[in-house]
Amino acid sequence: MDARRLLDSLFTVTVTLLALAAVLPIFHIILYITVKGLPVVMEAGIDFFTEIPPSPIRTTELGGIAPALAGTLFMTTVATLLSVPIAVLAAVFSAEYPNHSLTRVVRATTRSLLEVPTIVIGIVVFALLVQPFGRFTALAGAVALAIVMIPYVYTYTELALLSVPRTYIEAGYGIGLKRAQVIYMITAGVARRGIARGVTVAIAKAMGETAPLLFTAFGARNMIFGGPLEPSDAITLMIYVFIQSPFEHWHKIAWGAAFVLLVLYLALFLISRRLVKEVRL
Amino acid sequence: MGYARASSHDKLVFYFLAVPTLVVILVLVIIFLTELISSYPIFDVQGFWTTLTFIGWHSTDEPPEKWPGPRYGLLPLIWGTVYLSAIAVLIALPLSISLAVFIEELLPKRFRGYMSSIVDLMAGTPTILFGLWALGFLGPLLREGFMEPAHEHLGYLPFFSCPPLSHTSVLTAGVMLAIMIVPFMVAVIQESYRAIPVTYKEAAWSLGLTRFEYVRLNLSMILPAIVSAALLGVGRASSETAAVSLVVGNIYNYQPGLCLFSPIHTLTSIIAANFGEVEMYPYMREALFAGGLVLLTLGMIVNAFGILLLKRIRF
Amino acid sequence: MNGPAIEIRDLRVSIGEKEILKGINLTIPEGTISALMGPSGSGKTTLLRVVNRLIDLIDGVKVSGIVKVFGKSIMDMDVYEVRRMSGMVFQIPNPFPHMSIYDNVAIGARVNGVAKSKRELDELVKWALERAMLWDEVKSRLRDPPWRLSGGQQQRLCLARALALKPKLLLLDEPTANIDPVNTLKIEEALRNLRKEEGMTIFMVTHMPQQAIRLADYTVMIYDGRVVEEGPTEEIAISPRHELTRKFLRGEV
Repeated sequence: MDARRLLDSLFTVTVTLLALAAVLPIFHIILYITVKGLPVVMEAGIDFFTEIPPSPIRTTELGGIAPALAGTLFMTTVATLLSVPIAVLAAVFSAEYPNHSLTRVVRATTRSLLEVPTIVIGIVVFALLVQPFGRFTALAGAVALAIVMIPYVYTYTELALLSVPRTYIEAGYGIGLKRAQVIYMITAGVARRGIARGVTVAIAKAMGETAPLLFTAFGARNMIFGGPLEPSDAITLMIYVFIQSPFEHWHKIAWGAAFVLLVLYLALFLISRRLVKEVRL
Repeated sequence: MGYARASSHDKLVFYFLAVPTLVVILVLVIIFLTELISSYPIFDVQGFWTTLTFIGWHSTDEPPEKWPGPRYGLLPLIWGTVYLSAIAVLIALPLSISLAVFIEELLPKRFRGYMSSIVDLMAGTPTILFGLWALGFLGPLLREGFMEPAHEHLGYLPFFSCPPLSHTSVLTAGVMLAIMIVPFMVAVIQESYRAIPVTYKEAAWSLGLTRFEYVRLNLSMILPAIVSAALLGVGRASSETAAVSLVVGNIYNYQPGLCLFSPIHTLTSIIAANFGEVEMYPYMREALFAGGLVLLTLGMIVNAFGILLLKRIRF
Repeated sequence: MNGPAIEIRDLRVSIGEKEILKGINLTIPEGTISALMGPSGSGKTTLLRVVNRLIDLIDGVKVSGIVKVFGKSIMDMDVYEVRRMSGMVFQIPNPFPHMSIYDNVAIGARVNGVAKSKRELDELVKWALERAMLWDEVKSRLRDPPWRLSGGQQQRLCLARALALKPKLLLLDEPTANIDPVNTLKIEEALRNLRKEEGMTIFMVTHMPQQAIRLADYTVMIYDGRVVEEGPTEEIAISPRHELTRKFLRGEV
C-alpha cells in the first residue's frame, strides 16, 4: 500500500470516529437521564404528576412536580397562542410580498431574534412586565417564551409557504378566489404540514427554555398553578433550582423531572418528524 | 387605462398582514431600546470604557457619593464568554466537519435520513438536559480523566496551570457547549457541501483523487461556509445560559487568563446568578443589563459576519 | 354566430423592460373553439392570461389597450369578477393536493356561490365531472386525494374544476402538452361537446397544429408579440398566407 492510500484509509477512520464522537453524547444523555430519572418517577408513582414537591427538610413522601408541570403547560400554551398568529401572519406577508421592503426588514429581524440570548429576553420582559407591577407572573413568563417562539414559527412557515408551487396559487386565482381565500385555502392549505412542523419545533423550544423564565415566572412550588397573574414554576426552572440545591431528595426530584421533560421533548420531536414524512404533492 | 390596480380587498389583506409583521419588528426594537435604556445609568456613572475594561464586581449597597470608584466591570465576563465560546467552537469544528463529511460521503444513502434526524434531535433537546448531564457525568469524567492528570504532568502550560478544584470549570462548560453547537454547525456545513455543483465533483473524481484528496478539495471550496458555521457556533455558545451556569463554576474571575480548569462567570451566567439580587444593590441591575447589551451587540456582529461570508460562496 | 366573446384592441403588455405583446388586435366569436398558436416565447400564454387578468399576479407588469369579454371592458372591472367569468386549465395538471377530488371541483362553486345547497353542489360536481368525462372513473372515490389519479385524469379533474364555475368562456393553456394520447383525445372530445351542447366559447393555446385542425373553428397565429395570421382553421391549414404559418405547420419553428 502506498502512502496515498494509507492516508486515505487514515482519513476514513478519523472522520468516522469523529462523526461518531459527535453523535454519541446525545444517546448517552438520553440513557443517563433515563437511568437517573425513571426510577424516581417509578418510586413516586402517579403522585409525581399530581403532588407538590417536598419541603427542603426531608419528609417521608417524595412528592411530585405538579406545579412545574402545570406551569409549563400553561406558559407554553399561552406562548403558542400569542406567538403563532403573529409569526404566521408575518410569514404570510413575506411570502405574499417577497419584494416589499418590509419583508426584507422582518427577515433580518427574525434572524436577529434567533440570535438574541434568551436570558436577555428574560430580563427585558422583567423590566417591562414584572418590575412595573411589582410581581413575577406566569403571564410574563409566557410572553418571554412567545418571543422565543416567534422566529422559529416565522422561519418554518415562510419556508413552507414559499415552497408551495406557484401553479396551485395561479389555479386558485383562476377559479376566482380572492387573495385572502387563496392564502387561507390554497397556500396555507398546501403548506399546512410545514407550518405545523414549525409550530411543533417552536413549542419544543419554548418548553425546554429555562433562562427566559428565571426572572419572569420565577417559580412557585407550594401550590398547583395560582393563576396567570401569580408566579409560576416550570419543569426546566424546577430542575435548574433543585439540582443546585444542597438537598439530596431535591436532586432526585430534579432527575425525575428531567426524565419527564425528556419524554415530552421526544414526543414532540416524533410528531414533528411525522409531519414531514406525510408531506406529499 | 390604469392596470394592475389593487382591489380594495387586496389592500385590506395587505394591511391585515402588515400589522403583525410590524409587531415582530417592534419586538426586536423594544428589546434593543429596553437594553439601552436600562444599561445607560451604569455607563453614565462609571463611564463607558471603564465599565467594559474594569476588573471588579463590588456588590455594595453604598450610594454613589460614598463609593466614588467603579463598582462593576465587565472585562472578565466578556473574556469568559469569548474564551468559553472559542473553546467550544475549536472542539466542535472538527466534529462538525467530520459529521458533515461522514453523512455526505461515507454513510450509505439510505441511512442519511436517520442521521439527519439525529442531528435535528440534538439541535432541539432542552439545553437544561445537557447541563444536567454535564454536571452529573461529563464534569466528574473530565476532572478525573483529564484535568487532574493534565495539571499534574503539564501544569507548566498556562492552560493547565490552575488546580482543578471542582468539576465545574470553563473546560467542562466548553466541552458541553461543543456538543450542543455541533448540530447547528453541521447544518450550515452540510448545506454548502451539498450545494457544490455535481460537475465540480465529477471533475475532481476524474483527476484520480483519493477520497481524502477529493473531500479536502470540496471543503476548500466551501471554506467561507465553514468559517460561517464557526461564527454561528460562537453565537449559540455565547448566548446559552442555564446549561452553562450549571457547570461553568459561577465565580467572577479576578485574574482572567487561559487556564481551562478555573471556575468563571460569563456574561450570561452572571445574569442568571445575580439578577435576583438587583433590588439590594444600586447599579447592579444596570450593570447586568449592560452585560446583556454587550452580548447582544457581539451576537449581532458575529451573526452579520456569518451571513456575509455565506453570501461570498459562488459556484 | 353571436357577438364576440373576446375583443382585443391594441393590447400591449410589458414585464419590466421587456415588451411581450406588441399591439394585439383580435376578435373571438362566441360559441366557437379558437386555437392560439405560435412558437414558444411568442406571447401565447401572456395573451391568454390577460383575458382573465391572471397577468396581474406578475410583479412589474404593464398592460395597455382594450380588452372586452362579453362586451365588458375587463380592465375597469373588479379583478375577481373578471376571473369568475372564465375557467382556466393550465399546462401542467395542478389539482389542489390537499383537497379531495370532490372538493377540488366544489371549491370554486362554493366560494363563488354558484350552488345554493348541498344537493345543488353535489349535482354541480357530478355535472362538471361528467362534462370533463371523468365521472365514471371517480364516482366511487370522490373523497380520495387527487394525486392517486393518473396525470391525464388529473388534467380532466382540472377541467371539471374550471367547469364548476359555470363559465361561458373556457381558457386552456396547452392542456394536453403533458399527457398521453388517450387522455388527449378524451379532453378534445369533452371540449367539442362543451361547445356543441353547452354553447361554451373555448380559447386554447396549443403547440400542436394537428390539434388545432381537429378541434378549432378559428386559428390565430402569433409571433413575437404580434398576430401574423387569423381566420377559419381550414383556410389557414390549407392555404396559409404567411411564411411563418407555413413553417409552423411543417414543424419548422
